[in-house]
Order: sequence, then structure tokens, then C-alpha cells
Amino acid sequence: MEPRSTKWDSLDERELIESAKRDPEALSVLYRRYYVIIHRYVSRRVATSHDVNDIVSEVFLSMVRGLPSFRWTGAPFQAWLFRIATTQINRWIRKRKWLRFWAPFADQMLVDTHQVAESESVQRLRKALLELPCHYQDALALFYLEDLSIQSIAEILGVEQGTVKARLSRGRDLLRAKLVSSENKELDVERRTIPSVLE
Amino acid sequence: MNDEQFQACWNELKQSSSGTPTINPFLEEEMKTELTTLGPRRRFWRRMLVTTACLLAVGVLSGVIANNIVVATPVEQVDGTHKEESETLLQFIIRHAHAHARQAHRHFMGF
Repeated sequence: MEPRSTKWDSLDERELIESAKRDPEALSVLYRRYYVIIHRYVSRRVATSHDVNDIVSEVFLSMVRGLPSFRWTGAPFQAWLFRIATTQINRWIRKRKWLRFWAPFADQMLVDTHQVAESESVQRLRKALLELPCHYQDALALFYLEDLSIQSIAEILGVEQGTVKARLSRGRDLLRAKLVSSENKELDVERRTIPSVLE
Repeated sequence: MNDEQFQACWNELKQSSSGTPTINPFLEEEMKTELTTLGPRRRFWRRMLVTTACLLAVGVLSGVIANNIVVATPVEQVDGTHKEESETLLQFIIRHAHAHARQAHRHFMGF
């Protein structure tokens, strides 16, 4: 960490946020403090690295624009950032669905190094997750990938804790069904290809 | 798929993106620029909004007041005599503004 940051490191989260509303240096410290968490969350949900960078940039620029109207309620600042990130990811998913509708082969052309390095099961899980409705994806990703509590997820998504539990339960069932069906499809393909190879 | 396999899939996805990303210095600079330009931009629009609202309020209030003041205007009759007719100040102002506008149009356009 650079020496200029030491002045801000002693401040608690609330004071730092208040300073960041006016001071670019405090904003920089805030950015460095949360960049890794947000980047990790976005990259776990979004496969391609250029999309991850775009979304992360949009999250932090939205943070700057929204900071003047941010009111401290006692909830962690991280929850507010997760909410912005979730909104941006959902926007990206909608855009992606729209793009796939108009250009169905565009996804296959955009092969990313980040995506290639992933194992088959991870790719399958990510693909199945992206096929779920956004509200199930949000709940599942925050619970399983970020290890957040039901209460924190409810705060981030702005819903009741019961709703989060219901979304988790229903989302889990849907995801399992999708994973099993994609596994079966792959087995079918293998069964068809093996005899033809042997011939 | 049982619970353990399901959890293992999630753990694998979690592990696949657990590396530490490098801070983007361009984004940091862009954020600082955004912050420094955000204040003056917001102040400008806030002032613009307040000024517009004030002007609108003054206009509406003046209209209401002018509509409640009655003035007597001498109107020339056919026989050349003058008779006083009453109208509201608002009607008086609109009538005069209209007459002046008509006169200016005739002066500049010729018809």
C-alpha cells in the first residue's frame, strides 16, 4: 500500500465513506479496499474476462455517482456494492440473452482464455446457473460463492429472509435438474460417438 | 446428484476464480475524475432547476394576482363617445400584448 493511504487507514468505514464523497484520495482507498471482493464476485458469475472488467468498471463508476446520496444505515458498505454488482450482472445477463437471440453463434466465436482454463464441471455449472431466472442466480451465487448469510443476502437483494430461503430452495432444485439433464445429454452424445469411432 | 456432489461443484467454481486480481489504475483515475466533475455538474443542474421553479412560481402568482384586479378601460363607441368597460388586469395585459405584437408584425412583415 502506498504511503498516502496511511492517513485513511485509521478511519473506520463510515468516516472513510463520508470523506470519499469529497476527497478523491479517500475514494481511491475505498476502491482499493473493495476492488478484490467485487472483482472476485463478478468473475465467479461472469465467464469472459473482458465482460468482468466492464462490469467491475461500471460497478465502481456507479458507486461514485451514487455516493453523494448514500446514507449510512449501519449495514456494511460491502452489501451496497454487492447490490450494485448484482444489478450490473443481471443487466449483462439480459443483454447477453438478447444478443444470443439475434446472433446465436456469437458466444462460440468469443472464446476467452479465462474460460478455456476452467474444468468441464465448472463450465457446466456456470452454464446451468446462467440459464436460471436472475433472482435465483443472485440468491444462489451470494450464498454458495460468497458464503454470505441469509440475512446479508436479504439486505443485498432488498427482500425478506423467507423469500431468500424460498429462492435458494427452488433455485437449488432447478439447478440440480439442469445439471443432471446436461450430464445426460453429454452421455448420450458419447454413446453415439463411441460406436462410430470403433467402426 | 447428491448434496456432496452439488457442493463440490460450487467449491470448484469458487476456487477457479480465487486468485487476486490486479488493481486497475485507469479505473481509479476515471473514478477520481468522475468525482471531481460530479459536484459542479450536480450543482449546475440543481441551480437550473431552482431558477426554473422560481420563475414558474413568480409567473403563476403574477397571473393569479392580475386576474383578480379589475381595471376600467375607456372604449370608443360607434358614435364617437367613450364608455368605460371593466376587465381584469390580466385581460388588459394580454389585449395590449396582442395589439403590440400585431403592430410589430405589420411593421416588420408589411402585412
